[in-house]
Amino acid sequence: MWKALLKKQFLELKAFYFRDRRTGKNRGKGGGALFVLLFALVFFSLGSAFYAAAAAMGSVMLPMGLSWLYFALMGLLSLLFGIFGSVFNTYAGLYHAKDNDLLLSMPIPSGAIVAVRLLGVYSMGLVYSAVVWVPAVIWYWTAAAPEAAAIVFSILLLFLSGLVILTLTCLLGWVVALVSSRVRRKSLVTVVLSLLFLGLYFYGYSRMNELMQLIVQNTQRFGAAVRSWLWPMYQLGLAATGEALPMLLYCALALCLAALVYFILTRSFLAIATAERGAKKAEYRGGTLRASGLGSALLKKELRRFLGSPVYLLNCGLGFILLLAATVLLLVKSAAIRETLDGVLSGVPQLAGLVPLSGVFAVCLLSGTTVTTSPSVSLEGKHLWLLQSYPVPAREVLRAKVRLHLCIGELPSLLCALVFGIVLRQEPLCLLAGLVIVLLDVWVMADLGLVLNLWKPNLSWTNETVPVKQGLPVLLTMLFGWILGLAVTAVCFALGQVLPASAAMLLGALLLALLLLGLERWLLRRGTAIFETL
Amino acid sequence: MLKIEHLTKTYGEKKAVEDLSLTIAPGEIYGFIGHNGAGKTTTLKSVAGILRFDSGEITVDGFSVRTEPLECKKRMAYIPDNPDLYDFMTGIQFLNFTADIFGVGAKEREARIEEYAGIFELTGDLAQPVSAYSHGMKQKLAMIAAWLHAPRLILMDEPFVGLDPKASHLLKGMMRQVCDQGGAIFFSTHVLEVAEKLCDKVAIIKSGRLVRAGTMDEVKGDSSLESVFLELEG
Repeated sequence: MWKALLKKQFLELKAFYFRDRRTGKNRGKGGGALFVLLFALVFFSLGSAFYAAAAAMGSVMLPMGLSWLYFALMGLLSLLFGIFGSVFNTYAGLYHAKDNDLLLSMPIPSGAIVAVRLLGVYSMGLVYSAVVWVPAVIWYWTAAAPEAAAIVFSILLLFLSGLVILTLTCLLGWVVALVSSRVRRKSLVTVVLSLLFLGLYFYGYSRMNELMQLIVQNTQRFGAAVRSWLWPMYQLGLAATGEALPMLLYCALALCLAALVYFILTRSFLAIATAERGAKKAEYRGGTLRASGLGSALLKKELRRFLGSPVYLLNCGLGFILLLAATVLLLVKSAAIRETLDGVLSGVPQLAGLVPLSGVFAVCLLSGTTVTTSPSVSLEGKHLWLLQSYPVPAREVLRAKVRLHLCIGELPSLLCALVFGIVLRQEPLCLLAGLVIVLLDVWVMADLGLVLNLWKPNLSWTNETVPVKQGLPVLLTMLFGWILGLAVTAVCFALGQVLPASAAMLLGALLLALLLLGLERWLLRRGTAIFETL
Repeated sequence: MLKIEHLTKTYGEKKAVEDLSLTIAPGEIYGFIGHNGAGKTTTLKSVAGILRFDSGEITVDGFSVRTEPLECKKRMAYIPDNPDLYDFMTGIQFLNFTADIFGVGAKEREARIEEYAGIFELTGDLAQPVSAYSHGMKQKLAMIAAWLHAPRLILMDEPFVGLDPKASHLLKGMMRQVCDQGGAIFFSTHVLEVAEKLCDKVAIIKSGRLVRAGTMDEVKGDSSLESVFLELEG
């Protein structure tokens, strides 16, 4: 049975990544290789940033003989990153899988179902934590020439830390599950709890530089604090340097925690997965119905889907929250930003040309995390027959998906760009050109996500986290979005060497407009044809 | 009203439907009978415009499903055997959405929702999310949505499976009413007794090919529909 369950999970994963949804045939080797390459690229980009952080910290701590502290802090960072990566899909992954009913109806013990589901959560946490841990270990190996035991232990620690991440994400997921099984507005509770966690995470992340400096300046004191207050991290640090006893202790701790989680979840899984208690039945009492046009009806449908799914909302609408937070931060810190900018420009006046572009680039990066169109075709899933049987042109369906993205993306992006422009004291023409670039960038992102989802649709998912969180279109849209933001900035900067800044930015906007035109034409012709034959 | 001419649809090497021709006139309830995998659902989906067919022609009121699908869909409603409806909407939101798509006026939709939801005793549940509905309730909601824009042709795949006896009885009455008003019904079923009592015409499909079609008397003669079906299947 265990074998069958694992095989099911593996087949689902394999089908998702390597099978064509329309033909049902396996993709060629080229498609698989491309997928692996893209994942490697994302891993490498993020890993490079953590490698730099590891180098900054390690170069101070290793000469002081505090290798264990280096590993303890990088380990802590990898735990936090792993939790961040897997916590949002833990609840849905554990309790909302579409094949829950099917598996529960079979003579399968809850423990087996929980174990298979946990394996998915564990893998996700493991991948995210590896993004931090692997560069940290590589830097250490190159800088310190470690013994064989340290090499073996640091590899083992990655997998053991995955168990600690699993414990912490399940704890959070379990709380969410218990709370939401007792309230009516489950989505709202999930969103609020997730945002709370996200807020705390980003607050911590925003203080990371200060914290790093503080650690570097007070290494000994921090070492003592970690030893006293973060005992597991202390053991992890020692283990990574090759000490056997701490390795055994950390191993025992991770295994005990994982066993405890497994035990608790197995006991409560059936009750939570089958609970419908607490939800008061709403009764329809009639009332006036408002008629809408076709476009408006389709947009409302998209909006309802977006707002009704915490997974979709949090993973694909993150840019909305980030942009609003950035706008508030800009307003609060405007004086400090101006002061810093004036200081920089008085020292290096040649950077003046980059000022208007920096705001545009920052907004494009943040708005690039709004990717509502990327899983939107896949999310139709088993409901696709409805749109296909209605007298609705495919272009209207696709347009509604783009409009949802524009509704969510345009306003906070433009607002943030405007505030950026005012805080950075941009010339009106530069500010206007910047707003045009941001407006077009959001639109291009909307079209791009849709194009990619039409290229790689997945209509047979068993859990909506699959297309929303693990889907290739989502990943590619974010990646291309960031590359696009960088490319536009680079082009504008290059043109700015021979043209006035505003003219260079307007030319950059023109290039974006041409790209948008190309995407719109593709969607109208090829995209609609693909959608009709899904 | 509905004309299917030489319809052929293949999945890879397998011919799901082969050279199938049928004509359904206004006022007719047309039953479609066949074993599992005979090609009933493929035919219905092809007519509904949600499955591309390889060759042949399907027309609804003279409009081609292949070249003018939207005109055909405006005149039709399709209910699959297992209606997966938008579970992020409530029942009333789904009905309102469907009415918007078909351009049904506010007053008209209110009246029709009141009438059909009343018939199926679903009015009180319309504020519930569709995800909380049972299979039968989803079927009833799909029926109400299908009837909302007063379609000329209704396509149904196994409509009686999952419905309680009262709802089945009411549905039969609604089907007859559509036909009395000049519409037509084309539905698949495994319940031969229902087909025998309800249908004006019936078609039997076997391994993708039409083996017999016509009025009930032409198809079954003096025997029962069940014995004819079993004989043909033999």
